[in-house]
Amino acid sequence: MIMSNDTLAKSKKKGVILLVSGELDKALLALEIAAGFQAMGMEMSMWFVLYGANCLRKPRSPFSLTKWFGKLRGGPGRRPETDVALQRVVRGLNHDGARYLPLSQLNYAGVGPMIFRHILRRKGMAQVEDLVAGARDLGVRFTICQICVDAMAFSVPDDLIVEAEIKGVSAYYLEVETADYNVTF
Amino acid sequence: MPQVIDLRLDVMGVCCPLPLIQAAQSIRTLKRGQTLQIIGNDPIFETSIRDFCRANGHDVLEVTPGDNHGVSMLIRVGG
Repeated sequence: MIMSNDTLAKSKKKGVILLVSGELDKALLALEIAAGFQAMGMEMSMWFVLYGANCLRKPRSPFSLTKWFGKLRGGPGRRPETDVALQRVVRGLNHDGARYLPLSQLNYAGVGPMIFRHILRRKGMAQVEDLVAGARDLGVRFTICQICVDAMAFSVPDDLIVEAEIKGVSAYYLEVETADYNVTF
Repeated sequence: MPQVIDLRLDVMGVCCPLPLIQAAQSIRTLKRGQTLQIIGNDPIFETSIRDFCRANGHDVLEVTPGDNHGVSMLIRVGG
């Protein structure tokens, strides 16, 4: 079917991106596609599960004392009564914030991402933080998986740099059912 | 007759998909029929903006090569 410019513009398509990986390269790609597609006119929704949600978190140094020894805080989607002490270890070892994401290859204990980010800056390419802000401004919706919020002891919205909803697999199903584009990173 | 330019957007030095994001943000502030001039030097700048216009129903009125590998594009907002 040949569509004229008008019909192409009027049919608002929907896309869903699921980000599982907490690695800089995959997060960058997922956000680039989300922001780019939204700019092109598609209605995008991003889902973050497990380490994928790290790029929405406020950056916190791996040597931060509150990250290791602070109280596990509650919030929407959390069940603090079932918390275990090992969640503090997980929180301590986790890479909080887009600034501290590792690379999937050539990571070299954090030197790789520094080089990678330097190249991005030199080339005028977008960093993960810029893309999160750009995607938010364009109207991309962010959703975080509830069980991941609970397991990784997220305190929403204090720990996040953007507004995000907390939902489960049923909501994901409803979005995917009507989506024209769906990928997982 | 020279075209009236309602808004100018400079995206020199930034890469895909930032020109698209900034163009989409700027076009939101414009009404149908107004014009936007975008200047950029991303190697795929011209094709990106042409695709963007095709997908959203805007018209590309003029494309002029500029300094420093830059391209200036004039767009009329449609859609």
